[in-house]
Amino acid sequence: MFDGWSQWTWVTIAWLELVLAYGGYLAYLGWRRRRLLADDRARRALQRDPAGGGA
Amino acid sequence: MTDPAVRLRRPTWLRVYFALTFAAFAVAAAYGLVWSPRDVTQGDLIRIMYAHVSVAWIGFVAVGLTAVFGALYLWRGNRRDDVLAVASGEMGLFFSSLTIIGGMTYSRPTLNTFWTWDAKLTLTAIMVALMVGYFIVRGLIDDPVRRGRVSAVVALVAAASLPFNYLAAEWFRTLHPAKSVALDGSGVTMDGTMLAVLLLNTAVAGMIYLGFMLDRVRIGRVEAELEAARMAPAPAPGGVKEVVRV
Repeated sequence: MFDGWSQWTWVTIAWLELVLAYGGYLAYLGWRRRRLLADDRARRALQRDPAGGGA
Repeated sequence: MTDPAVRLRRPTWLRVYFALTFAAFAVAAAYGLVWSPRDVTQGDLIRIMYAHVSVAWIGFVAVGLTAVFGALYLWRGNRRDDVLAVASGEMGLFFSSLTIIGGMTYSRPTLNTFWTWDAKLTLTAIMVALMVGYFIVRGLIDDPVRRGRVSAVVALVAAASLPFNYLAAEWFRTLHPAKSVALDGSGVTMDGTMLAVLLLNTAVAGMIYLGFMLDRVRIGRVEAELEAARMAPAPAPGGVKEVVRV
């Protein structure tokens, strides 16, 4: 399957791996940030209203 | 504690740093893809080497620094060292995994195989497995002090494999090429232009490591503070609440 691939195909794939990985890690950091803030908001809400907001 | 939303926001200087770093990455990639001469035997495939080797070197540095910060945590017990170790550990896993994936992409067209269990590749796979273990261990232990200590030991074990990995291509018969740049100053067997492009790409990979570290440490500090606040006993009514800053 791979025998017919040109040298430049492999070169392009290798560099695209870096671009995708760096972009992916930045997205992961953003996700981690958002999750942390959501956890913090939930914790604060629980502290304000330990009963969980029930009537 | 200051509002986490404010503390987690990426500051302007870090945004500028990332912008400069990714501009530098584009320039370094252009040098590797355009300016570098073709190799006599590998042809254009040599352009993969700039992406692969630079990332591999920074992966080694990241794993080594994880062990250094881990050792500092074992020695001083300062939570900041553990936060630094985790951030560098993520980078170590990230760059080492990227090394393996990039190495497979380089290996298939040059050596006609994606993978072989020779010494160099196996040691790299073991290092990645140990870094995965580092994070599994961290996920299994709730007590932050014990978690930091046990994972620091795992990081030291992972770092112990680095010298063997570095020298594996010299010591053993392996498909992986021998070093073209020796850290002991014994010589460089590489064209000067290629060496310059490789060093440029390594410097840029180092800048990316530093940028990701800075961002990850900011998140790690807030995580540690929130965890400390979560584990602290509830303050007595009207009492003074202790704030733990990491």
